[in-house]
Amino acid sequence: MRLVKWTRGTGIRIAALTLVLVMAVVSLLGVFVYSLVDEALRDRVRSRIAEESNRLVLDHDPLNIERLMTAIKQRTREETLRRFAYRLTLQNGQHLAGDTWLEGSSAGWHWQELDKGMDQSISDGHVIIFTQALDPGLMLSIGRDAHWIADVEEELRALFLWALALAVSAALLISLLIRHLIARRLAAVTNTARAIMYGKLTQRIPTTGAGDDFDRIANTLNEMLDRTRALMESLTQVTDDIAHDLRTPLGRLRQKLEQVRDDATLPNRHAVALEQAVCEADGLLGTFTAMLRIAQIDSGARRSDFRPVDVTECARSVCEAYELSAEDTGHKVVGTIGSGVKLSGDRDLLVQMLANLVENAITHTPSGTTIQLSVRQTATGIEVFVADDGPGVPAGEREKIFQRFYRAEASRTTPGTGLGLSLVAAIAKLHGGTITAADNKPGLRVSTLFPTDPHA
Amino acid sequence: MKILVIEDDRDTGAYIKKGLEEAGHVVDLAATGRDGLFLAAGETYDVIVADRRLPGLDGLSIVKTIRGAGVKTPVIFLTTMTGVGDRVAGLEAGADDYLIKPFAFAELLARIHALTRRPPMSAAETVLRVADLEMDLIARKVQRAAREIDLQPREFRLLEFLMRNAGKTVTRTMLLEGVWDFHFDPKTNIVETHISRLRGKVDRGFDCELIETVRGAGYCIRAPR
Repeated sequence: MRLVKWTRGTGIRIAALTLVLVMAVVSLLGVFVYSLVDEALRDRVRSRIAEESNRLVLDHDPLNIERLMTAIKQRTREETLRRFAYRLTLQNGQHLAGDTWLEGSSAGWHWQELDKGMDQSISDGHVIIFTQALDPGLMLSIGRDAHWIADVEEELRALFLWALALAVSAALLISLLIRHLIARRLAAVTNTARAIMYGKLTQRIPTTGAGDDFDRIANTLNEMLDRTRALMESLTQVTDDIAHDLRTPLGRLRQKLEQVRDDATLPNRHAVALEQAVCEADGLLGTFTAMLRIAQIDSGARRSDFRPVDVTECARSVCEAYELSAEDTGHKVVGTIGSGVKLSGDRDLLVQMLANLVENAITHTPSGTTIQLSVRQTATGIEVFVADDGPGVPAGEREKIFQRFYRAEASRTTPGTGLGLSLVAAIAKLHGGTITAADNKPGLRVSTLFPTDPHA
Repeated sequence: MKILVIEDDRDTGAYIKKGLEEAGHVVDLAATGRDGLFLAAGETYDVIVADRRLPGLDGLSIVKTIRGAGVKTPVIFLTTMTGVGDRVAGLEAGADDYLIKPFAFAELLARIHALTRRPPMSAAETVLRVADLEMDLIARKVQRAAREIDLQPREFRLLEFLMRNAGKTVTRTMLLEGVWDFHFDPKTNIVETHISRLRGKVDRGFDCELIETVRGAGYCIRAPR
């Protein structure tokens, strides 16, 4: 897993490409230089042989075999440290004079490797040979030591290997450095994005001040984030202003109704009507509060105050709080709650989420329904569900229950704002959870899965 | 009691002032944060009721300032905000309680009363008493007329909350916050059912009822007059 991720990085791909390129260039250069040097060295030997051949042949022109043989014999005897090897034969290979070991059956240039035991007075490795046909059916071969060429070539090869090793390690080092630098700069971007996702809205991508490409991208992204934040802030401001400007007169309306209602001289039927009016105002204000609360939760700003919350403790207190009132309506609330399951979050909101789910189940199921509240730690995260064995919700309507102001056909007449489950969904989302409604066979099962935070 | 109300909305200010005066309190009304801070720092009040949002100097800054100056007068915040997070911010700034507008007047009154005579809990006080009802906080036992009453943990906390505020009205919201730590408005009558269960254990079968329902406000536990 980790290795796959590592090899997928852009940095490592660039590094590998650099490495391959450097190796190719160095190899090509090596082959080129090698063949150039090799050719030049052989040329030198060849020209020496050509000079000697000219001397030998032209000196004895017109050709006299006797004299040529004498000259060759003389030359092969002459020096203890000879520079050339000679051999004169007939066309059919019959030896006439010179070094018997020297090859030379056909005309042209040859490369002969010397075996041990051969006359090694001129070389202990290789000789280059020039063989030419002389007029009356003769073959003359002249050889010269080329052992040192092989030595030079060997040195060249070693040098080349060293150069390759050096270049490869340098390339490897540089590309790893580049990979590291790219990874570091990208990590800064990723970390910032993640921090913003988790509600730290003021976080910005750090720049190095070098003014490079990364800085330019970072600056552009930061500008974008600033603008988005400014937009969000003005939106929040507008929402807050609406909250203030609409709720205040509504509040005053409620105050006045309350003042009149509490007037002891009022006939009873008026008092009842006024009480109903106060309730209506409260309902209106409740809807309003719920809407604003959802908007505020959706903005994600609450994440900055997240603390470890024991979800099992929240669930137990919700379970216990509703047990009694559920009994009054003939419902049964059962908790299957583990212990010590912790989540980074907002306790007040998590309690409200669980309470809303339980209340929703109590409100929308008939007497005799059992409601189960469960919290458990699974391999992938924390699963919280509220399930009932009531009539359930038809499959087509199930996903709609989280929509704002959605009221299922069957519950149009039940009191409520139609915002309870929207609030639940918003709270679940704020905590990184996914919420689903499913068939409990029978009944409805609303479950939320909070995946284990990889950063915790 | 002498109460300072800092509220920029004239109608709401007048409504609170009138209500508190009818309840027998002396009320100073400040319409701006600056006036409010001036009065709060200079005079001696039993309670300060401050709007969280004021032109110029807001409620949060006022509380921080007077707490910094060593004024310990209890403060109740009023707010139109939707509540999420504000409660904690307000309490951290040094406020003692928090009320979301609009509110039933009885709610404000109950909270003011609960704050003002909240006695500093002395360590020695381990038994709460109302008439012949006795609660031992250490042994976690309750008895009435020398007869032991068996209570569930939550019923115990509910009764404790009532008895700590004996003689004063506590509202449904105050009970939800104080006993259940619920900071939202449940649609189900959690408080009512628990009170009724508690009554069944504490009052039923005894010669007089200690837990009263205060119409339109909440509940109160007190010795019969």
